[in-house]
Amino acid sequence: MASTSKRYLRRPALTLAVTLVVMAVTAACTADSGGDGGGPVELTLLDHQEPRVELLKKLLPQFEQDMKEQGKEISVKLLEGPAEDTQFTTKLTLDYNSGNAPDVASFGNSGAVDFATSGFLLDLTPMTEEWTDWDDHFYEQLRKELVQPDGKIYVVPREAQIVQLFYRKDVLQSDGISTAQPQSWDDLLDRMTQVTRESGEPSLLFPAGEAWGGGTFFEGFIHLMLGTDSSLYDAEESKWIVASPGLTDVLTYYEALTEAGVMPVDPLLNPEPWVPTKYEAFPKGDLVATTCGTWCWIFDWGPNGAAPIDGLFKKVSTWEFPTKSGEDTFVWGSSGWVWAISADTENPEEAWELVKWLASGDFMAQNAVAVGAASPRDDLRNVKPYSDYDFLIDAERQLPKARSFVSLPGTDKIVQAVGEATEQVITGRMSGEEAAEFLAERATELLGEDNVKTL
Amino acid sequence: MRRVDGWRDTLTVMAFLAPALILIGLFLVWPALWALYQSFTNKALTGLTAMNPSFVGIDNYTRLLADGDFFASLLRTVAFVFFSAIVGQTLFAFLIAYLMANRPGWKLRAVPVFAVIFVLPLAVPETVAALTWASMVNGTESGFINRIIGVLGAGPIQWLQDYAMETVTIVNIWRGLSFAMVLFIAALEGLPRDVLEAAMVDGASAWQQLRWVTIPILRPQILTFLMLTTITTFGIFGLVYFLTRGGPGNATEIVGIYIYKQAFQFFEIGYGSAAGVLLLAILLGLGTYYVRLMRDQV
Amino acid sequence: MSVDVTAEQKDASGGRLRDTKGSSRRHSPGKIGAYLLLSALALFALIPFSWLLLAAFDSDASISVKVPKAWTLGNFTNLFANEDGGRLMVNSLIYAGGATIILVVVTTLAGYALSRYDFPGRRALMLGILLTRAIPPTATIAPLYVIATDLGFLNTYHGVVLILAAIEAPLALWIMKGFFDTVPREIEEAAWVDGANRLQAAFRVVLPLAGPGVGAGALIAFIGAWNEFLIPLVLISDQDKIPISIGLFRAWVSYTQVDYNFLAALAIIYVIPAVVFYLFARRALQASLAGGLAGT
Repeated sequence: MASTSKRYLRRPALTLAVTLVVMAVTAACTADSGGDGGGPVELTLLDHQEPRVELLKKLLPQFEQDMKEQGKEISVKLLEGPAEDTQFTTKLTLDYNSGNAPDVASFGNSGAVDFATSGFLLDLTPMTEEWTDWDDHFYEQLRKELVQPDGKIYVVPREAQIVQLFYRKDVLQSDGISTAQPQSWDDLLDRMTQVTRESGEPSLLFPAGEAWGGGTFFEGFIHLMLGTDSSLYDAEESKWIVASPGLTDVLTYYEALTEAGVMPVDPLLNPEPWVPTKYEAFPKGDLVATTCGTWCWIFDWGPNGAAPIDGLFKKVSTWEFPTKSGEDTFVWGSSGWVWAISADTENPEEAWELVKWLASGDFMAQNAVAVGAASPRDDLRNVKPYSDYDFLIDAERQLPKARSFVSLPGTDKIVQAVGEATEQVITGRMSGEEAAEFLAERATELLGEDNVKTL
Repeated sequence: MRRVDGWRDTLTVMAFLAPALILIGLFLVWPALWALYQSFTNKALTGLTAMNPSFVGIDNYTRLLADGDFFASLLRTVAFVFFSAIVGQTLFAFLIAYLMANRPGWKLRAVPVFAVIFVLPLAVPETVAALTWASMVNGTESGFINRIIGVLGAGPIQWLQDYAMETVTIVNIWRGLSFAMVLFIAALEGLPRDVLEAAMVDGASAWQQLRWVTIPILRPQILTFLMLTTITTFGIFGLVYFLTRGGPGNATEIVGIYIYKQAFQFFEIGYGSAAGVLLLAILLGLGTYYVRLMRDQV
Repeated sequence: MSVDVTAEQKDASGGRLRDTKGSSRRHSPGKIGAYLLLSALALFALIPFSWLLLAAFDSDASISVKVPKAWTLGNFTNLFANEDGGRLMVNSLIYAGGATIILVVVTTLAGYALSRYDFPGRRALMLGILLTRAIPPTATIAPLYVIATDLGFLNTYHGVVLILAAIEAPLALWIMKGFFDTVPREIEEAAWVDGANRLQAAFRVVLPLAGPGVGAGALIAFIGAWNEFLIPLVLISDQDKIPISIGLFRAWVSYTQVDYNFLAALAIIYVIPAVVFYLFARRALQASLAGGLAGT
């Protein structure tokens, strides 16, 4: 080693030259091969999680083939991001920031607002205006939901999800408890208290606490909030309503659920809280009711799912969400994951071709079946394999009347505050009312005083 | 050492020093200063402030100091540093080294062999160290540690759920203990023999030798090492992040992970910078003391 | 040897000499206790690696430590043939190697200057450099990210190489200077007398003698950069450019099924340079460091 270094350093010029050459070579390696106008185009597509990526691997060649037949030379390079959601969001955000963004990316629709307001996404409004399918076939509710605060469209639905209560009708029947649709919160609580009394196990799951991340808000909190008369956001003033009677009601309900012993608390405090609850207690029949979505039929409890349940359709059925007052019931419906094009893409037209292809016919039908989702378009009911899945088509039928919550700037901070507040309630550290105050303070802290108001 | 003399010398010195100083200045010093500047803004990577960050004065700091999470994180880190760096790596390592080192009246065989083994925990990269321990502390009954305590009749313990911080501390002790031992043994064996022998002649017991001769002579080295490992341990990220990602919940969220989360999970660069600045303040405080210890080495 | 010394002391002084532990007998209880302690510690140090070694050669690796039913080298071949093992390795080599080359050049020059020249502010500069050792990437990662974005360093080989070099620089510089200090001036002066000018003397005479030091510094820098995790985590987004440390992490946080075969094999590959370096450099390091525990 000594003699080698001696030789190099004896001639500083030589060393310098070597260093420069090394750097030049590495710089050359990193030079982008930009898309040539008019030549073959390579698009990059970023996705994550196994069933989605596997499906893309299988079907993307079909896209390339279809494009060839139209006389276009487009190839797609599939990139797989980290499987875990937080890791993926970090990676995608850093990618967008660094100018190294994939041409097309897919993510949960709640992420759209942040990416859009940060200027990372391509404005798709002119494209969707040209695309007849958009107005003709995509459900209006979903189209409206995806319009961003600036009035433009930046994402296209990949699928649609209905979220509601899934319950073990076989357990209720054997316990002699009514399986009729619960109309009000009290009704639901009463019935689940009976179940818990019989079994000694927590029987109802509304996600709560910090460990579940976004799930606490999107799979738990919001479905209660939508059952009150209060709103979370004032669209006219563009402010979050961080204190309202409805909000207090929701947290008080969480308190009631916890005190009645009906909610499973321990699992909610540990990482991957959906495992002991939805993947273990529910198939076992200890957990009798839980919020879940269309994906649960396939992704969670289907034969290839994480925790298959035998005789799924005999044992499990669905309820709509009750409201506090008991006046009506509802389901939640929204687009699940979406497709977006990077604002920095060098090939916007080709990228749009890809997105259109992914948001139509064959691919969309296969995607819906692979992940367990409904179609966001009304014209896929006869397309195989989707046409074989009754329960998915049923879910699709519920879309037009479903309720949802439009993601707005600052949603991630509300999600954070909700996670913390519900954690206080389920651990018994605060009462519902105290938690509501805590939520208001925390949300104000995170969002800034100018962006909040109270009722 | 020759005094700089005339413009040729000055030029040489400057030319020789420049590349290193530019490198350090640009990527170590400048970011530290930039952190200070950025901590006064609300820069974020997403959302509205991504496009137009604005100056918010000391808002980030008031928020940070009022943030229970930050203090919890700081406390956790101090405990982590205390138990793994100070007690584990320095104190234990020194005592064990004392037991093993060659000194008048005491010689063990095979120390060099052991020394090779002891270097391994520190030699491997953080990520691999974390990975190997992930297997050891696996919470099911086939986890290595669980198997051992299973033999004694105790149930499988979910180490990373129930005792996350303790586990992580032990991993860090494992990481540094052995190497620290090796270093201390070398230092102990470098002591002037005649002083020790003189002490023995005077009838000093082993304990007295240790207390009145060995430690005072080695005091600077011990302190130096203590400072160094304290400083490095404060800045640990990969070892813990790989194993727990700060979880469960915030249980192992040491300051390094807290900063990372603020900056790259919540994308609040301004806020993350403020936390970074506070960490730097602590580290530079310790660092100044360290530098003072090293003065005579310069 | 120690036995003789003590015996002589006893005779010479004639006074009572308290028997220090185990000095007069080869295997006293004290010593046996010490050996036991040492062995226990050695076991403690080695056991976590048992999983790594077993799983890497196991065709059906899992998170638990188990003796493979089927020993195989398949994990390694799979790593390079089907997975990105080769790519990860090359990237790590580029980052660590690039950083090392830059550092060797830069710190040798600076180390020499600091060792041989005295100028106003020299001490302050040295202490300042020492102080920068207290700045971990953890504290400056947020502004570093912004700076790297502005400089266009994100996701580039040269950018990351430079930053890695900078992080290792204070330590490397300190070591280099230390080694130059050990080369006596007389040798240099002899070269001047023989007619060499200052620079020639530096390169032809001093450098070879400080050779081991340069080597040690280079190796330390290499290993530091090779092991780095946070910097590549944040600054590299292209999957083609990630080094082994990030590759390991990505494989580890896989949502559904962690591929332990891949993980273990990759970890072994990752570890080899670090272990080899430490085994060889230990002697050299200890010799230079034991004196004052400087620059540990």
